[in-house]
Amino acid sequence: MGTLHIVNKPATRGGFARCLAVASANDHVLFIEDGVYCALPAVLAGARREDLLLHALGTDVHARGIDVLVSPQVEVIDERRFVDLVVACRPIVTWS
Amino acid sequence: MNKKRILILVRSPPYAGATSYETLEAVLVAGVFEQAVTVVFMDDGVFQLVRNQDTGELGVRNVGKGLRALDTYDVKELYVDGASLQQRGLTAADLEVPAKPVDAVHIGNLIRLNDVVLTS
Repeated sequence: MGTLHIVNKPATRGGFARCLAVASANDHVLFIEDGVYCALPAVLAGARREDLLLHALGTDVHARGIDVLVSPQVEVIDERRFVDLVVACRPIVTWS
Repeated sequence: MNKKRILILVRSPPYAGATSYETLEAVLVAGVFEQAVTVVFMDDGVFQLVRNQDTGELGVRNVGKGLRALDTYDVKELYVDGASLQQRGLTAADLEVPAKPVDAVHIGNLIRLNDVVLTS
């Protein structure tokens, strides 16, 4: 399943850019907490990584009212799926 | 004890709170327990490596001195993101301990080779 990259801060903090620079093809990227703002199309447009599997945690997306703004490239997932990813991926890297 | 391959990704500068020394302690402890430890310094984390740190006035533990202890604890795999150094006008000569310069692709490979990644 490859590496799970967890991004928990907005793109302006730099963590997401570093994640993109080092992630390998088919790695999973999960946006949580303030990291869900990285899931907006305007932010992802600069990413240019079609080879990554993008997810955002629904709880954090709903809380911030950005459900309709999240890019269609990003799969909004529930906590159960979050756990599945954590179990399946190795290693897990957090980017702040 | 199962030997785990542990990568420590250091992205924060020293002395902004206790994080950097606590990370260093985690590295030392992993070394004591004979885990395979790799440390990568990138972004502002490269400032941890700068030589001649003197914390006498600040009154906190010296990260630079702590780094010198790594070798004793059998932690020998130290890497630094070359671009992060360059962006900050630093070269290998400015560093307290030798760290191998690598690029983003190499760091990606290092992540994949490890079981556990800790970030600070």
